[in-house]
Amino acid sequence: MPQEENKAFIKDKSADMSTTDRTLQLSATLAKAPNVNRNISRIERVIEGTPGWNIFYWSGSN
Amino acid sequence: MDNENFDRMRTELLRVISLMTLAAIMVLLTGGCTAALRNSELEKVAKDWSLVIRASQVIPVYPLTEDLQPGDVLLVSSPIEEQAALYKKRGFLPLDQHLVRLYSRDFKKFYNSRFGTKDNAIPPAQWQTPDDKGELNWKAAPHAGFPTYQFSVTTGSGLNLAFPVEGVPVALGLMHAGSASGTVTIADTYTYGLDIFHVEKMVRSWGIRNRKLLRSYAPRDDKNHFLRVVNRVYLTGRVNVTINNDETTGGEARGGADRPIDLIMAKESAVTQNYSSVISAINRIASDQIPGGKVKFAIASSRSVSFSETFERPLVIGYVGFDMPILTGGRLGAPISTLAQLDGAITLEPYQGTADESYRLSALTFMYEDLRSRKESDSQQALAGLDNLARLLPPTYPFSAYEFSDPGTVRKDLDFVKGAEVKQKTQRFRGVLDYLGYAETTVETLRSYLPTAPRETEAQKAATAELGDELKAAEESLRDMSRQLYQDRAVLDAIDGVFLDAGE
Repeated sequence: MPQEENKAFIKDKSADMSTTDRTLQLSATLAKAPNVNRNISRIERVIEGTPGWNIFYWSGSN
Repeated sequence: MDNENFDRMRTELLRVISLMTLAAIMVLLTGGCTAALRNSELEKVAKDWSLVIRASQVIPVYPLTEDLQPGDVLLVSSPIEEQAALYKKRGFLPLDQHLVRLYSRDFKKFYNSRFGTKDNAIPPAQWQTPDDKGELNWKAAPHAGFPTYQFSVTTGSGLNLAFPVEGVPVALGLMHAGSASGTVTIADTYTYGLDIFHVEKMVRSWGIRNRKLLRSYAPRDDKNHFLRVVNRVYLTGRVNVTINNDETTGGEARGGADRPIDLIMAKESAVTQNYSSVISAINRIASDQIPGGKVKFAIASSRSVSFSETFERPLVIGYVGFDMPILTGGRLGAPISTLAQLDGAITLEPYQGTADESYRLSALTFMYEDLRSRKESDSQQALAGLDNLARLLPPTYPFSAYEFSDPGTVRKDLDFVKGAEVKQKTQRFRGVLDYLGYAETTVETLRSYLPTAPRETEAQKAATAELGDELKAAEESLRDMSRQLYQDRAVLDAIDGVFLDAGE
């Protein structure tokens, strides 16, 4: 099965989170399943619309 | 002696012997009854005394003691409901098991250097130390005031044992009174303490260092042990007492002027001189009866006696404190007012959780990785204990896992599907963490998604309802697994091993 890039979205817990709290939330999410077992390629901050993080990861195998 | 006189004497003698025998039998028969009555009188006096302290929002100490101070921590083993019932019945509480005395050096800061607070002097040390004139410095301590206490008493009830003021039985004796009523003014009253913020921090820090001890008192059968922490005490140095002879106010009272106390040395004239002599004489007698000469009579007549009793050093009559429940693993819960608990007042339950669930899970993940990297036998043992917890995993998944792929769009996991065989069983504790991670992610995703999920068509309504069921199943699984996990000895040992032992 060829590898393909997938995406998961992590919504901010609240709209007025500080940078520290946002980073803590991201760290905690990356440390637990399903993200902890993923081959993550990149992480993007989403500002427009619903704020949060896009986590891109590779699924499948070469 | 003629026969008539002899018979009369013999009859009189027999009558006395008969009366004595009868009296002896009566004493034997009523002995238990008198003891019971005395106990009940003692309890009543103790309760009356305690009620006046309680009325001032202070928890009474009985008997009075000098040896209680802010930072004292008591271990309360009986359930709070029983404590409240006992408090209501007796009016006071025994001082339970004195677990530890914690000394704070924050008094000077708390009082902003006032009231004679000094660096490195922990109250009441600076007030207990005599000055150059040999006098105590208690007058420098923060003052307090208590309301006047009214009471009624009878002799023969073992009063001197129960009542904390020794002069009362002497006064009753002076008036030849069997029953009396009066007032007690708690004078020379002092208080000192610390704010809950500082004391709680001190207790919590001690609790972390002594987790192993506290763990033995973790909740069982939904009942908690408590740490009762004293953060303020109230002391008295003197009590003023006025006692009125109830018998002189009854039908047998003589009319006219009040009679002075009958003493042999009182002369027929010179009223003022007589009175002064009588008072002086009473004070001399009192100083013999109550060593230390601490009881001073001011007024003494057959109708009323007034005296003041000074304690050698101020004694604690009550305290203010807070309770901290001992939680699972020996952690300490949030402080709750002791008085509110004992009075059964409705209080807002404090939030006992200490961390967001998701942060707790990530901490467990790092803890597990840390243990895996250690080679010591203790760590290997803790690791084996954790890995053994894979037994808690169910044979099949009770819910399907979901997460957001985009804002407003949920995606079902391909492997973590309801009814499928649990794969994580083979991954030991890592598998347990993964199971919890999927459950948390699903709960967070569906809780956020469902309130705005589309419900326009029948298919959408059915899909949303199905997701609702999945959310319930995920919540239940998360709750059950967390409860089992965080109460398990293996997890608590691992937490202590990684996070607590590192600081020792």
